[in-house]
Amino acid sequence: MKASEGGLGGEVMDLSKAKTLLIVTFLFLNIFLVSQILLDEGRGNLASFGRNEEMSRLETALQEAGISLDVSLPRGGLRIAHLIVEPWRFQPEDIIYELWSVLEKDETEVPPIYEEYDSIANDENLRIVTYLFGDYTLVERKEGSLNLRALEEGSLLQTNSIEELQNSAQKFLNDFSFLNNFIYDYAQISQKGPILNYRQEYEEFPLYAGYLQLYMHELNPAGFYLYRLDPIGFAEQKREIIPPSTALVRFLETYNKSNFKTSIIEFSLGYYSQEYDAERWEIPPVWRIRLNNGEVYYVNAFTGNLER
Amino acid sequence: MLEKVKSILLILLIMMSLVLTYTLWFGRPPLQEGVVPRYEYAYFTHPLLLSEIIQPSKILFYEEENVLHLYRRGDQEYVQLWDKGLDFLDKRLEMHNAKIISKEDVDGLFETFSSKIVYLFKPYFPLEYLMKTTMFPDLEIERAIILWEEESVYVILEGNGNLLFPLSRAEELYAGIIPEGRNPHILLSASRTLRIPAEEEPHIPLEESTDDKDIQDIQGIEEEIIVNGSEEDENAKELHNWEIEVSGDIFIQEADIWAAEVILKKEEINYEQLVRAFFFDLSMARRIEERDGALYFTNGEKGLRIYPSGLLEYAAPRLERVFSNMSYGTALQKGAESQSLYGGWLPDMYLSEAIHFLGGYRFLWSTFHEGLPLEGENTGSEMVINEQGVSYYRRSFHIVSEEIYERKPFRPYDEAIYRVLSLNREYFIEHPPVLLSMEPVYYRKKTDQAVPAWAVHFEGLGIVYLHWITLDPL
Repeated sequence: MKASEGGLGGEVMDLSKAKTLLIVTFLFLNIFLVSQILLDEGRGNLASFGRNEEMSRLETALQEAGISLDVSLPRGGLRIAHLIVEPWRFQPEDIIYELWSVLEKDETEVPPIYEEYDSIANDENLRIVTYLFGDYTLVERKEGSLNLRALEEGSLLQTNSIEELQNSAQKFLNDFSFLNNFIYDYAQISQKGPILNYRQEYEEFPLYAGYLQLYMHELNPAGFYLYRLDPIGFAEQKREIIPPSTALVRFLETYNKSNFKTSIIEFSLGYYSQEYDAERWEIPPVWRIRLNNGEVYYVNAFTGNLER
Repeated sequence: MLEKVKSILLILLIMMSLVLTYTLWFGRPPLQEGVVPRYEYAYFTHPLLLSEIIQPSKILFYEEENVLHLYRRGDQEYVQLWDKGLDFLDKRLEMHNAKIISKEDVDGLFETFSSKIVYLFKPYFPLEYLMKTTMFPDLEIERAIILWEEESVYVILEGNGNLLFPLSRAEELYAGIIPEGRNPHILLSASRTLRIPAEEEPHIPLEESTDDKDIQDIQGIEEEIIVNGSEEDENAKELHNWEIEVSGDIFIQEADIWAAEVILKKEEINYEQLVRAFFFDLSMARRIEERDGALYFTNGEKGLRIYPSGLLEYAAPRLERVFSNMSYGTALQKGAESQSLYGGWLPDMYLSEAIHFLGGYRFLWSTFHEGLPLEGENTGSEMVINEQGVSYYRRSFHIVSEEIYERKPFRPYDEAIYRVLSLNREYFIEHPPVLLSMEPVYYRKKTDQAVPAWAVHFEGLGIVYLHWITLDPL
């Protein structure tokens, strides 16, 4: 009886030990698997089972193009749709009145506005209207972009930091109803001085197609290029976007190697298309690749084609 | 109790390990696969058989005593004749019986036999579509001629090579390839000239027109002609007496050609299916609503524009090639298959032109109504194709809905020629007139209306379309 009880007790003990051993083993296995998955996502799909070959291919392509990757690739695997937009509709006179009241601080009345029409080779699609008011010109193109210029340009000497310029510019933008929803993107230095780039945003997705380029002289805005869109919503049909590594490979296939050392300083997901003169259109998601030499490329996140 | 907890925990850990392993292993596709588009072949109409891709531009029947009858595309008689003719050629021709003959032999046989049927192919018909042969892989047929006497039958395939097929049992011919109806025509051949002297100015019978507007237009022409005729201008007199060289074969119907203006309706097409045919996956194409009402779909690599008029235009510039060595037969086959995919085939739709250039082939299709082609700006379909696929496609088909007013006969062909000459007097003083082609057509001048017209083509001038009653240029 004892023997049988002891035997049964021994079997129960063995089974219990076996369970404990298996629990510990599977616990370690799961920790390992989770760490691999997290590592995979952290590297933007570069290192995972079955993709070592591709990773090596990507590294080779980067080397051949003379480009270094200074940022980690973001996560892919999203299912998103085209973004539907309409052109921003405005009256140039309204823009001019608002500009004048801010630029001249309401000290003088709005001067007479002169309109000049220019059509290249009689092509109505290339029609340009220039509005002259006071010391400013506002150029309106048919697709809806605006370019404000001061006739007398200020000093090109630049002694301020980007942060100072950004703070000053932000105060300027806050004064305008049509500029205050632009989000700071990045700064670049050009022959005409520093340029602060702003973009639009829709439901936390950057909308690169809607942009504002602000030219700064000292701490004062000297002019801008503006192309604004009215996002309507997302299209119905969603599809999976290509992984960032695929987008990078497709970009490198078309990139012309530079003699200078080039690096990728930004790799991000947003929406971009060229400027259209249309009633309404859909904008594809893109992987934006920004290089340290100021060049910016957009790879269609559905097709992998370079958006021009 | 503790054992139960351990068991449950163990089961959970095992299941979790399975899920994690699956996620790690299959979680994301490898780079080279990416997102594979769903490739849907959504044909609008079934692809054509090889022998259906090209059909004769005209069918000629030479009766004894050299009476010529002509049957045009879109005619009921034409359709029956070609069905039976193709069946005859398909069943009776065997390559081992073929003899290579010269162009002179073809001409000699053609003159010798008085009874013959000629299938004219423009564009050419590839021999490979008629019979499997490795002997003449590139033979393109311009004319298929059936000649017969009481006992013997010969078939000649004439093109960039000439083959003669002697056959027997002539009685089988009467089973169907000889037309039942008659449609006599005259031939303005290259060897003839057409003289239009000043004293034979066209007489336009006003009583044949019942429409007030037509009467006014006709009176306008008559006055103009009289004014021209009475001019003292030496050049004008010279023009009236000029000889006109006729280049190529132009067939003119002996009897009056009756026609009426027609109302057209746009081809009904499922645009969603059409966009899917071009982009395979609708989510890949972004939609742009343009200010003129057109819809534009693009994926950045290719674009499809659908105009409010129904015209659709597609371009894929990356598929354009500098050099293409695709064969004519393959290009035709791929083009026909693409046509099935990009909107499909309509009744009485025929290939009207095939142009080979370094970058591939350009094909043009048009529709016919009662033997007359429907022409006009952006009418029909155009396709540019090479090994890479279709790099350009245009389509705008209209279907004849109903006739407006009563039918009236076309003005005689020589009046139409005179009209073109008088309209281009200055040009023809410098350039001797060479008539390249002339045929009755329907000309679409508005989106929803087509007018019967003479299409007259002189060398150095584009095709001039003349209203079938007033002879006004359209």
